[in-house]
Amino acid sequence: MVDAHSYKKYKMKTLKYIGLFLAIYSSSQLLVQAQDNVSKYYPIEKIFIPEEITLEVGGLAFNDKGQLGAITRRGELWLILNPTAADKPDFIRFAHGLHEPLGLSFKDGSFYANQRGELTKITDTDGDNVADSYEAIATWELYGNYHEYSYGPLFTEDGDMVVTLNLGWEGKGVSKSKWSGWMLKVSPDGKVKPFATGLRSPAGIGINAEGDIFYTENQGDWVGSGRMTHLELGDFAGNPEGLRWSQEPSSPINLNFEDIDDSKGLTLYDYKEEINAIKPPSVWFPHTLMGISTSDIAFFNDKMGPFSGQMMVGDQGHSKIMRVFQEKVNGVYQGVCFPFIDGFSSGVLRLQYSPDKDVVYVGQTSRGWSSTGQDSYALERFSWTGKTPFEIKTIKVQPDGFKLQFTQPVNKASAKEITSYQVTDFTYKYHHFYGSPVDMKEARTITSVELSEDGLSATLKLDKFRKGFIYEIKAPGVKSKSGTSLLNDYGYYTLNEVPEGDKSIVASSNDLEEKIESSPLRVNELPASWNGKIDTEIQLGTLPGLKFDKTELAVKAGDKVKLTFNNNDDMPHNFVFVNPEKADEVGEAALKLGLDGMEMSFIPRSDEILAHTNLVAPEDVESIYFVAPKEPGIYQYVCTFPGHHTIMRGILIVE
Amino acid sequence: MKKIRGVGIVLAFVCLLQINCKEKPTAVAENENTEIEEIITSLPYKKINLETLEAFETSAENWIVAGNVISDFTKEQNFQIKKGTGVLANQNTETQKAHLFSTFEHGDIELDIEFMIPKGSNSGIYFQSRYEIQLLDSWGRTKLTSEDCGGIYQRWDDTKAEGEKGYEGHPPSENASKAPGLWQHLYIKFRAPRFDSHGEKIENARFEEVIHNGVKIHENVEVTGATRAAVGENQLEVAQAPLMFQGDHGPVAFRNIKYKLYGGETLSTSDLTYTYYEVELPITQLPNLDTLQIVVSDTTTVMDVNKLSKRRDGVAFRFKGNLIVPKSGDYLFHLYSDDGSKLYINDELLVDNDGKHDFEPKRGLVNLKKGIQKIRIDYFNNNWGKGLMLQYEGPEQELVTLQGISPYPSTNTKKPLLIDAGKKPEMIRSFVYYGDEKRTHAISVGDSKGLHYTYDLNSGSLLKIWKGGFANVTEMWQGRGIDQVLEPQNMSLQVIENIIATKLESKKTAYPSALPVNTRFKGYILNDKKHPTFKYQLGDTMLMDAYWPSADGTHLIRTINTQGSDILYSRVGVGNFIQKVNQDYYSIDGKYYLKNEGEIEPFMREINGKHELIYELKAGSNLKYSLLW
Repeated sequence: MVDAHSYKKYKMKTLKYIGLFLAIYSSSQLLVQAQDNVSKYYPIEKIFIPEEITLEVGGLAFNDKGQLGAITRRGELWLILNPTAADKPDFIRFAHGLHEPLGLSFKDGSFYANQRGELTKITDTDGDNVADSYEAIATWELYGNYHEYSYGPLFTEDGDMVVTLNLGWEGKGVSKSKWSGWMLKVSPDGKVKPFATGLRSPAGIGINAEGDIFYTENQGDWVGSGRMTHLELGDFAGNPEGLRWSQEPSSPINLNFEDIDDSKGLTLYDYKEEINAIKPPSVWFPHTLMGISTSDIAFFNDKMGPFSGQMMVGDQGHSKIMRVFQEKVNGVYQGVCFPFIDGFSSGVLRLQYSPDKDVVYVGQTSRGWSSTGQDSYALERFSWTGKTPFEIKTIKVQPDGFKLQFTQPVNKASAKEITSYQVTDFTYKYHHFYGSPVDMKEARTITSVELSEDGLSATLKLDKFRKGFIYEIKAPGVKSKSGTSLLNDYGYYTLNEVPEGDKSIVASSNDLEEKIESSPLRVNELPASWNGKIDTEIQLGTLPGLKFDKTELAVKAGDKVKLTFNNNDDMPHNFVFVNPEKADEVGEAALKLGLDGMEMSFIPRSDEILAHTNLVAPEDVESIYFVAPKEPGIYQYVCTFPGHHTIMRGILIVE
Repeated sequence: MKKIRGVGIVLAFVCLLQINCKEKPTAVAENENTEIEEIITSLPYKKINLETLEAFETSAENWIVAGNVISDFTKEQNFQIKKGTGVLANQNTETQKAHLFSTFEHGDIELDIEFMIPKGSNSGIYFQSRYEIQLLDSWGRTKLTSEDCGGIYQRWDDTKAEGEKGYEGHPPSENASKAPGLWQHLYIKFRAPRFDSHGEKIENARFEEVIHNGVKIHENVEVTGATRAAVGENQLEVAQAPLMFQGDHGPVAFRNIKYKLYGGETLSTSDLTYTYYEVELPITQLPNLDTLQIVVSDTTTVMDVNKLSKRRDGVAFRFKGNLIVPKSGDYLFHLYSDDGSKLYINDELLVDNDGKHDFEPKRGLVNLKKGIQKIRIDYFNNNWGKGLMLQYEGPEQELVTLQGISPYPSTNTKKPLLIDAGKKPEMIRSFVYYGDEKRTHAISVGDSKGLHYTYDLNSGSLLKIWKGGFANVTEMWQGRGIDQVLEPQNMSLQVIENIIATKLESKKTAYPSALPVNTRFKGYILNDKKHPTFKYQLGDTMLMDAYWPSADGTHLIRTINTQGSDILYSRVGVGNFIQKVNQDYYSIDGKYYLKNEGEIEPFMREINGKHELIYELKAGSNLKYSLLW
């Protein structure tokens, strides 16, 4: 399983407020527009699931009869006989009794699924559409921790199977069973070959046309944000727990757990200078800005729009799919991620093409790992309508900047303006803490913009490159020839390598920090003017599943209120007290804070906010003091952490 | 005042297990005779001495002390008595058929007892000689009445019309009976009727809880008067009377009879005072209260730290007062707090629950003399939730709260998620507990005939067998399923682990506890009835291990088919005693029967003080046997 919902445990910085007008604002309005419009190009269709089936999808695969196999977290493998049926397809329980399988493949008449502790070949030998052979191809040890999830298998060209094994969870990731935290290759006759380690919660595996293997990772300890890494034999992807098994005879890695020392303060990228086995990611998915729990990988083909060869990467917590373009520079993979489709009904875990490669089925579950999509499970599909959205198709690195390629010719006047673009770079810390703040962020200066003749690309030259950094590249001002804005006007490019060529890069730095000031709406000390008097004391906590423990509070108009928010959940939350019916507006504004969101505790600048706490870390408590409005009414309170505001809210009645 | 060490006491009693049994219906009662080193969480039961009959009164010779009782369950009322002590047996005849009465009298009581009833026999346990829990060979019955085993027998009124004379019986909610001739377990919590000062009854007697073989069959059932065939048909109810075992209906045996009497005068506190302090955060352990400034000093009746605190975080209390002890004896105190606390009796530290922690208990056992003792509790809260509660259990005094209040209501909101087999067997792979150990590669198989089992795929061994409902998967399929553990819906019989098969140097070589390293689990195939057959490769030999219920749903049949050239051994039973009860059936410790069904007979051996039943598998041979319980 991917783990979406534990975050950094260390204290958040005190709230700093961005006082200046944020150019981000204009672009984020487009973000809203994107949510409205993606359905024109890639409409989502829900597949009917009979009431008696709990289809918490762990894996999807088509068999050779065009029937869709959906394996579930309850261990059942359902065959959907006619998945393209317009209304209600037929379901047959093909197999059952498996231990929380989280992957499925089909090959030569058999399904292959990873249970927690076993790679199993499932076959119907007598043709009655019910499996009667559960062959254990390979087993591995477990120690009985719920977080010991196993993903895959994915077949390689030569018939081996790639599987990935999660770490256990004991308040931190732990590798207590052999090969926990590893990617393994398993031969058809069951030989297990440890392939790479440094994995934490590797929910997605993909193999590209060149046969290169990628896996997706979830933010957590030693993992600053979600990411995708190209793994080759003997690679170490960053979480050191799996290294506890590196001295096993079959281990391809000669690196020990003790060799990794985060007190040096190096980024993962810089640490590679010292330890060659380290493999920095090819693409980072900035936490909350792109997603929160990275899942499956699929590849675009020409039936799926203008992005052929690119990747789709699911996100369980945000119920969405991202788009990734990668290129190889100096022999190293790197690339850019963009928003693609959001608004799925549950947590997106699995992506599976139809046999004709023109429809993608999306298997979903959110049990125990809440997602923006409210359903506890779902099966949906999407295809391309044939209309081409106006998008940034690719971003490629140049010796001194980036080249943006568009899906449609641009309006040249808009696209040649430097002010139509913004570039910011940052990185994440590499440490044993959970996640990382956005680190060493700087705004880059764009020194020139050059358009191609055909208006399909723009090359931006920058003042400076920092290798190992993530480049937020925005093009809010760029319009198409017909005057429309980009459907998604930003992407995040992970810069590992810079190609050879003329460089005219000048260093400069532009830090936003100094423009941040403290908020008058967050008062943590008893105001002196209250003369020690508090009229109402409120204690508020949380319940699992994105809820406050009280959904209704009442105070008298003008009361002096002390509110204590105890975050007893396992993810960060804030408390934002807003004017009546303004929770949506404030919550949406918080979504638009971009890279600064975390630092600003996701408190947008809004006159509708009456009082708030900062982001309160799990197991932490914050008290605030405020005077209730003079005007009676039904006010609201809400958590504005991205993905929470639609659910996590309550009303505060002022009498 | 004598202080008794509260920790690390070796209890040879099963009392802890029994208490466990109510909460967690696995790994129970089947483990008797094992010594457990445990932190004491409950006062021990009083165990009836079965060396002699001195604890009883009877008027005839049908009740005797025996060493063991064997019964061939295929024959009516078959009862073979072995000499020795430890077992109470009734073999009634035409003339010798008296009831048996305890010398002690009881009001409120907890009784924990094992019984064995032969085929077709009938007996009963009468609380206060008046209210009967029926004992009967009810094995396999589906339509239950109050006359079935575990039933609260009906009352009787001869003045009523024929067919209406019997009334108010309470059948058990489930048939938890084992096959006749096996030892069964009963736990009963009985509350006696209450009378006012004029002797008028003001409250009926009540069976608060009855647990049969780990299955709760009654909860809070009121009985308005004596049940049928009670002593003194005059229906007169009393506050105290002996326990009675019925002796005139058929042979029966009892062992491990343990009880706790209740209803004595209870502890109380008086003259409570407290001092309240405010302390700088963080506090990780009790500060020295003697040096702190007192913010409030007052009297109180309840040690309610939430009510008495002036602020949420950073508070400390010292409560002092008198502890009025009505009866000399051992008292077990349970001190719960969030965060830390310490309990002192007569200025001597008894319970140290210091430190920063959630609302959780530490315990202390002490022998107190009747009279007024001094009690003191020191307490602190660092931040957030507060709570302090003192519970105790004493001589003839049930576990109750003496002081303080639990800040958390004890509600379990999880709705159980239960799975039962349809027409075809249902399989679920999961983690399971085998005793306290978590097994990670287990499969449980449920059958519509109501015989279910859990099998360890790592060792090729049966772990548990049970009847009734199949699986409780609440801890697997709700939320993240942190435990990932499947629990049997009913009390399961935990079978001693036997790895599937092994090579042995000779028939005298000890059976290993782990499979040889060259063993591989190969998966399973389903037969036409969809029962799994588990496949193992042991060196050059393939083993096919299969289980399924017999056609009548009484026996769980197992076969192992081998293909290969090695001579292998498969141990199928281990126990303190294994004995043939008739030509076909072995009794394994009186817990279950094993019947050879194949051509090869198992051989018995004694090794390291245990009896073992082992099959020798020559090249290509097969074994077949069944289990019955």
